[in-house]
Amino acid sequence: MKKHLYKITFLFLVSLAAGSCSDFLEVVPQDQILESQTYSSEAGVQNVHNGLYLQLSSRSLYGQQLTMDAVEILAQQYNISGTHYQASMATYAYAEKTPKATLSGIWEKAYTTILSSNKFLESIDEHAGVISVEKANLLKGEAIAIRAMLHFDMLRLFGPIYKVAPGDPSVPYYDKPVTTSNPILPAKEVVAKVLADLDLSLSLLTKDPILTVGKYAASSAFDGNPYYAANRGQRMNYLAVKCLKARVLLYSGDKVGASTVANEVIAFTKSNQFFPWTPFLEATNAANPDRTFSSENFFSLSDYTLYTKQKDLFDSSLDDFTIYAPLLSRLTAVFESNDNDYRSLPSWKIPIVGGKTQKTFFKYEDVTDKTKLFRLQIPMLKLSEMYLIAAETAPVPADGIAFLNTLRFNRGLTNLAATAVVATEVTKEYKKEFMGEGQLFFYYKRINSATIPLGSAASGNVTMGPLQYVLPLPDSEINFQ
Amino acid sequence: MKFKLTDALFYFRKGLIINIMRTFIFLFCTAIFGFSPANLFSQNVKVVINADKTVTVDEVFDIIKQQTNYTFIYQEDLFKKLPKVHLKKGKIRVNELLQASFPSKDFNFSFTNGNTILVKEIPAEKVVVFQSKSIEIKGIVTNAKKEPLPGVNVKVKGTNAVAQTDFDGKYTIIAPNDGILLFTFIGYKAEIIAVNNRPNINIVLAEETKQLEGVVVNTGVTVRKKELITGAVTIFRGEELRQVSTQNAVQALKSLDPSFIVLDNNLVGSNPNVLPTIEVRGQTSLTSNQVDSQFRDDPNQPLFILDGFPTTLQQVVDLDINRIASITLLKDAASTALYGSRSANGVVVIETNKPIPGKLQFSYVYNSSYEVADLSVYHLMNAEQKLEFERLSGAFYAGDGATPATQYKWDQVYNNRLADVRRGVNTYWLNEPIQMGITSGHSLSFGGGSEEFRFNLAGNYKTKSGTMKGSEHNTWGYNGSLTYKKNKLSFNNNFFVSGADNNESQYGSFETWAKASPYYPKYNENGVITRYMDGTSLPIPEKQPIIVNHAINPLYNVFLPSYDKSNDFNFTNNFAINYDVNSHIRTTGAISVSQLNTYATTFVSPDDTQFINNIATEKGTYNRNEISRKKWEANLGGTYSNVFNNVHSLNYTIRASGREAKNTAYGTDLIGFPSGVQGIPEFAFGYKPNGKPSSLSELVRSVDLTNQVNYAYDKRFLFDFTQTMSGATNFGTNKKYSPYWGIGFGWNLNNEFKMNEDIVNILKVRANIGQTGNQNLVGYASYDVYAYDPNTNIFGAGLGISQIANPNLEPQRTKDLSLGLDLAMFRNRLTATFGAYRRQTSPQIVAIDLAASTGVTAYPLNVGYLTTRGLEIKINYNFIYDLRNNFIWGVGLMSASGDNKLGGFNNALSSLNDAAQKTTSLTRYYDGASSNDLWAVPSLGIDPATGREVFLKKNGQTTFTLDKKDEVVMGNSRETATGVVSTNLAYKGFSFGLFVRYSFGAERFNSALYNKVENIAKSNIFDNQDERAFTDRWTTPGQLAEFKAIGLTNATPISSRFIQKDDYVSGESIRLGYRFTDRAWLKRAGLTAFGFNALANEFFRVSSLKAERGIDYPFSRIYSISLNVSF
Repeated sequence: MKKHLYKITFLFLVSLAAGSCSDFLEVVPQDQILESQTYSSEAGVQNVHNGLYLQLSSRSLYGQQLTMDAVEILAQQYNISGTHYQASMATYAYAEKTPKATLSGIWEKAYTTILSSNKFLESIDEHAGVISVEKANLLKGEAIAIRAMLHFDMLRLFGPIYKVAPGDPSVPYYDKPVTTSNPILPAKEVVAKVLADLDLSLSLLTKDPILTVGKYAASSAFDGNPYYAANRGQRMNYLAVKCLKARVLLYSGDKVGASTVANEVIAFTKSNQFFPWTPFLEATNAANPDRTFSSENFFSLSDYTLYTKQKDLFDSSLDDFTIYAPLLSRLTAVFESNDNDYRSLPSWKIPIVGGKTQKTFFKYEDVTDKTKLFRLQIPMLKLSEMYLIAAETAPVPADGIAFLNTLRFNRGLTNLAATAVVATEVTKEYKKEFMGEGQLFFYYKRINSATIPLGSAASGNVTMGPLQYVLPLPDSEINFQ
Repeated sequence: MKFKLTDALFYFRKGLIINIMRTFIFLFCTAIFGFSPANLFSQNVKVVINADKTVTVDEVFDIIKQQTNYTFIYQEDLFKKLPKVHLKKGKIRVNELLQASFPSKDFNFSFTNGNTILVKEIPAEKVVVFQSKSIEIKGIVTNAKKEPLPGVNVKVKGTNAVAQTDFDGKYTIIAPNDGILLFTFIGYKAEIIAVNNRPNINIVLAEETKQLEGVVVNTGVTVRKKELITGAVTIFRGEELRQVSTQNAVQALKSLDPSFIVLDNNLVGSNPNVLPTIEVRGQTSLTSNQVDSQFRDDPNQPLFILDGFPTTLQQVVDLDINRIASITLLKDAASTALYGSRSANGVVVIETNKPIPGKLQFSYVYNSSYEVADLSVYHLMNAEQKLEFERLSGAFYAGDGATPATQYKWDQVYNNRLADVRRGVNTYWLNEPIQMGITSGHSLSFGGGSEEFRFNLAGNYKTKSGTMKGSEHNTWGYNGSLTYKKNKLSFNNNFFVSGADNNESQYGSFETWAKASPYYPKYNENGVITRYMDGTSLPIPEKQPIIVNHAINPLYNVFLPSYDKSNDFNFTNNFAINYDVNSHIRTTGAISVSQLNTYATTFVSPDDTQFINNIATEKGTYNRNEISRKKWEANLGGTYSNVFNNVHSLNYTIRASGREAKNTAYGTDLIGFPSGVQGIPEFAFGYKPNGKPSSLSELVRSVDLTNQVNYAYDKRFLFDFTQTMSGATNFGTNKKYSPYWGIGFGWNLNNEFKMNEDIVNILKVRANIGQTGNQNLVGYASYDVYAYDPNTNIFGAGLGISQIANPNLEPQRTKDLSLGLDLAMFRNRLTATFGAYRRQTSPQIVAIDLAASTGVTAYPLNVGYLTTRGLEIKINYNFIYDLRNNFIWGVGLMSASGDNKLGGFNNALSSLNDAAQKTTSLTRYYDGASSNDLWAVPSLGIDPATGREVFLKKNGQTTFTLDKKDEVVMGNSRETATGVVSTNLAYKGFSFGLFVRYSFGAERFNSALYNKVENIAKSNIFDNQDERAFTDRWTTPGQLAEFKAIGLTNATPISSRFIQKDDYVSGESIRLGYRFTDRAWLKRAGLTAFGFNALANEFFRVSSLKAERGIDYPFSRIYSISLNVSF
């Protein structure tokens, strides 16, 4: 009996060891979060989704480089002298070390974010049922639009001058998470894919609460869950996607299409009070100026580190080799010596400290009242651009002038002469409207402007061409293509 | 031939028939011997008593004698004391009459042949026991040639008494005079001798057919005779290791086995706190691009098994060498496959001393080592040379367009320095951080016990200071093992507690001292150490027109309370049960639990010169890291072994094992300390701004199921098969399990052809092939992993994807082919082992950067393969082998060579090559090339006309401008051959050993030439440099110089000019020892043996390469002595 007892014990232990093997090797990393854990709850899904916005507001993307830093330097918005640490970027010397690092940083972060969007879109389908279909559609619509926006901006940076060579190779397009590289596509194919994605996004965003309650308020839809129902203005919402679509159409030369979409958006804002023009008193309020005209923004990024960036880039205590600030005469020229422009006064001031004699940039400066809803936002897509697009694409110049006059009126300017050239006036407004928002360089590239005013001198122009407009793909990309 | 059914039937019935026959024989024997002999009839003979009478016993005998033909043998007067016998009239049987005549309890009687009745007095039983008394037995044990055998175990059967023979084969033991002695000795047949009251017993032990037959190989899982295995395996006894090094097992093994390679680390030199890099038979993985974590070992490091369980390299290095009983090196698939996914780099199996039964035995060893830094490899400029070098380099030229006033200031600096040099200032900075490193170690062990219950306790304490002041590595260990054995069951428990205290030198990197210029004095005229070497203590304001050297005096920081220290604490407990089901089946089970904690703290004093420009609250840093590793492992197995028909020997082992390791780490950084404080965290101003505590935790599990079959036919043909199924959490979710195997064949030619044992003792050829694995790679590569974004927004936190899974990742597999030959001749005077191997690791796991647009970086992929080939030889010949006089002299040679080749990568590693090109690495990864190849653009030397370097392009043209595309293989960092030549001499108690390493055929990138002769940037001119920067550089047109113009401060690209041959000979170990045994004075002191050894390691080196060795820490020469006492 004793002998048998040993045998039984032995067999029992062996079978126990063998039987538990499959579970034994299912190990969950303790200091990392696995997909299965994340997608097991609604909160987890929201966290991954919100991660996309946090990536958008990272320094390599719209948190800095694509709004107030690299693309603005390329547009000669600042006085970047020969001794400034960004001199090589300002002289379009893309092969130099600093621009190389910056540009590959932008590229890598953009595509990492695209990967994140794709991964999100894949995983939310794999884990269907964690959130309702209605909510999932809303989140998917945003993710698809984010993917489209990033691809489009990579195209605008690294792609050809579209007006000249729409068939030239530009950037790769990813609509799935993959571990093999996709081919570099001709620019027009990328645009087609972007537009397709935007349409897909719009079809998923039809129930967007922004259409019913505006940008901050919470709607009762989506169980009243604020993640879906509130603060839509800081998400890639239905109107934002529409604006983006207008922008893409215009970039691809489809004026009619762009005009239609822009007018749709304008018509929407006229039909309700969700997106009013920002009143003079709010824009120029002494203590709490709304320098970004927040009520007009369809989409602005929520960035809790915005005011540190303001300090890092524009603070008057920075020395001349690091501060981003234009020459006074250039700034005066942009605002056509008109200090009444709301866009000038609260955003551009001669600082009290730091010993600077020129005006420095205050657009992203914090305000006194910390409860202001417009704090900590970077404008991404806004009403004024729709007016500019409508003006530029208006079949009749008089209509164009009318759109421009509406915009000018709401910026404290007088009406244009009826004889004004729409295109010239649109250029002027782009310069004033998008400071620190990163659209000017793309505007120049879109219209293929042969020269642009040189930022580091009081007068004179930079000659622009494909060498300046078409940024080289980073080594981390071309080494593998 | 026709086969009849009946034959088969007969065959099957054979067992039955044999049983019938056996029964028959049994019955037959019982019939023959079981029945009583005829004399029974005689006992029944009756005698007639005619009348009642009372007679003496003697008279009774007379009556019997008269009436029968019986005679009596008995002692006269034996029956005098007995009472008289009353006889009654009538007939009575003889035996009944005798029984009645005397009480049977005192006497017995027997009928013998020849009709004799023997009557004996029965001695009282107690007397029988007391009659056997203990006596002292002495004797000599010799072999068949009358040579004495030392170290033979003598044991009294059934008791605990044991003894050993001394060098003259003599022994003394106390045993009962009717006891039984058991003589056992490895390599000899055991002898059982009855004492039979002899005080002197001399024994001749017969050798077993071959001496090595007794050598067993412990693979950590199984124990088998070496004669019967087919893998490449070497075994070293603890004694052999201790004869080479008193330091640690790693240092000893590299001198003893050609395939055990310890790679020189030129950066860390002989720093006692840095672990060596070890390879067995070359590499299986690319090291530079591994997917690894803080806790993963070097992917080319062998697996270390200590007493049956895996352990870390640190533990092996810190293991008291006196505790080691044996080390077994398993090198190829046939021997390592039972470790499955952990076996590709070979296995080092370490067994520590086991408790032995017997009376309490003590042994004590004292080691003392003295380390001396080897500064002879530094060829630095003296003060005069240095200043002249600076002048020639244009360091004192203010530049074109400088005002005369500025130039005047520069000249002034030069003239001041020149005055100092002329005054005789010529400081030798190198000796400042150097001291004699002293190691002092004590180890004590005692143990004993009965056959059933034994114990052994051992403790050791060692303090070791390195050759740089303040650098320390102090270790201690305490170990206890208990064994209980009862019948078929045995238990064994072994626990081990150890710790280490490490201190890095406050003198920092040795490089700092090599850089200090000799024209600066160490102290100023008041004997004060100033912050700067030029005698000042204040930082110079920026934008100074004079660029002069304002270098920090390295001595300044030395005396601050900064520190960099760590301590380890380890606890391990191993418990094992064996149960022998019968003589063929043994089952085993074991469990091991261990925990290792490491605390490391670094404090940099706020007064350190590096903080000179920081604001007050940001001076000084404090960093603390806590690491904990917990693991357990359990296994369960059984072995069946049997020999059939005396020729078929079969072994089968099955074993299941599982293990888990849980590692955690936590680290914090504090910043800002008030000036002058000690490094205590309370004094800190705060945490590092925006600093996040570092934290890591991981859980790794793996399981193995191993089957092993060994078959040998008549000790001639050998066959091994091992198969292991390994599962691990490291690999992809879709590839959790992977199989590993090894098949080996061996042929003992000496047995096959019945070779003359006086000439050939062993001649064995073996071959094996198998597949082994490597687990030291990849973490959670099979999962999509998310991480919290450091920022938040209005919607709260967010997760970002931090790793994209490769669910199809396969473990690295190594296909291993190994051939070998073992030879022993002339009664083991000549022994030799030859080995050849080819290992292909495919697929490699490489972390590859994909196109940035995929968003994935460092994606672990299965790609390419690495093939390693090599040869190894080990020969030993004893010129003198006279065991009678204990006189042995032998010479040994060992040699290893090998290289590897990459393949199947295509362009996958181009990102690695690009990264390598940007650093000074010469390693490139191209198919068909070796990972040890050194790539550089060929240089044609320095143009005598211009002093510029001329390069050779691939198309044959020459050029002044280097193009990285012209890179070709200019050398290989692996030796064509490296090994050790050794000699060992033993005479009586005296012994001597010498181990000299040679290495040739390797090339090295001479970083001293690259960094300290050329490539001296303008900012580094004021650092001291190699003297060749002054003597061997081009100065005048037409000069044939090895190095470019002295005034050129621009960067020199790497070219073949800096790759040089590195052939060297170095003294790895030399030893002198003497051992006293069996001396009168030892006995008086109560000792059984006393020995001492003097050893020197790394005691000389002659090299073709004139390069600095030991950049951050110098290499050292080690001289040690050890004392060994047993009682």
